[in-house]
Amino acid sequence: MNYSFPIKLFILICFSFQAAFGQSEFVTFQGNHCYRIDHEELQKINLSFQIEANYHIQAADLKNENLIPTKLTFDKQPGIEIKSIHYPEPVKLPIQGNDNYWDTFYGDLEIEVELAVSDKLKVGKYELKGHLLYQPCDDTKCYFPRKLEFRVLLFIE
Amino acid sequence: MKFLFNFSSIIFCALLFNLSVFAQETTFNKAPDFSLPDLEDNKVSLKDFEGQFLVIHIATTWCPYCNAEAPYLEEISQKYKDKNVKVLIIDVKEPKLWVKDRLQDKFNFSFPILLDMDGKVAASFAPDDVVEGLAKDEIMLASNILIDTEGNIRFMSLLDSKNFDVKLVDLQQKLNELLISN
Repeated sequence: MNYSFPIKLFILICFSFQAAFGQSEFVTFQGNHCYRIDHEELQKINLSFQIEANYHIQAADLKNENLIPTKLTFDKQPGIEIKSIHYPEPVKLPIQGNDNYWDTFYGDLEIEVELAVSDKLKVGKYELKGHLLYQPCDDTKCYFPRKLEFRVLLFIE
Repeated sequence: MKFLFNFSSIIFCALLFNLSVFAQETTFNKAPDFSLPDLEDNKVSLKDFEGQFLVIHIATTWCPYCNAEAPYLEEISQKYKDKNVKVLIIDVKEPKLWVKDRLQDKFNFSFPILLDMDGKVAASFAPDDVVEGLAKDEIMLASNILIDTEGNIRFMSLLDSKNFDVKLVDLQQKLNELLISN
């Protein structure tokens, strides 16, 4: 029996798995990429992100000005105004060996975005380009900050 | 005759075992040479610390672990200053004034902070095949390294510590062992 093809397929799958989960990124954009919104003054959308297991990122509001907070921003889209961004409560991660802690996010991260649609904006599909700046660490070390680019589609009704 | 043969074999095997153990114990990686400017633009080299123990922390101003560890690095510097131990920070890819403001002025270190503007020195310490997919200078971020009086790396937190060790307990344990045996 010829085992070479199944072995090659297995190696290819493993390599692909490794490549997909390489350590260059630590946060992925999840969930709904499309939102139906209308011309009401304030609309809320919830953006879901997944922080890789065994990693955490800094929270949005930090006591230490040296650290890099997680920050969500968007490219300007005419007729669509970002009114406010609400981050979840941070998870307090204790620093082993002393009484202090870090404010972090880990696991599922959901960020609420309030936006206003101009009544002059025509009904249709609009793309909002977003950026999530974050700085990750694991239990042993920290990593350079990253910027996750993502897009959401807004269907204006 | 048979007894002599068996006895000789046992002695021979024991000698071989001891030799192999001895060989393992004396194999260390040499610390890579470096020469970097400090915050006063003075050149500081690894050679300047010949004959001394050297604790190196690889840091950035924004690294949370580096910030948490900073006071304890100063403690170590003070605790061991009369024991032929020196401490320094290698800051990676940040401008001098930024580092001065965010690290030196904030923590008031009594030891040098060296500026590794392109990250090559930090990268030179990175072991091979530890974390795939990362740049070598990033691999070393927040690491603590202990170099002995002969320039050998005797401790590297990336390899020798399971978790972040804010008070450098593991490194100090190793340092104390080396100071006793030195």
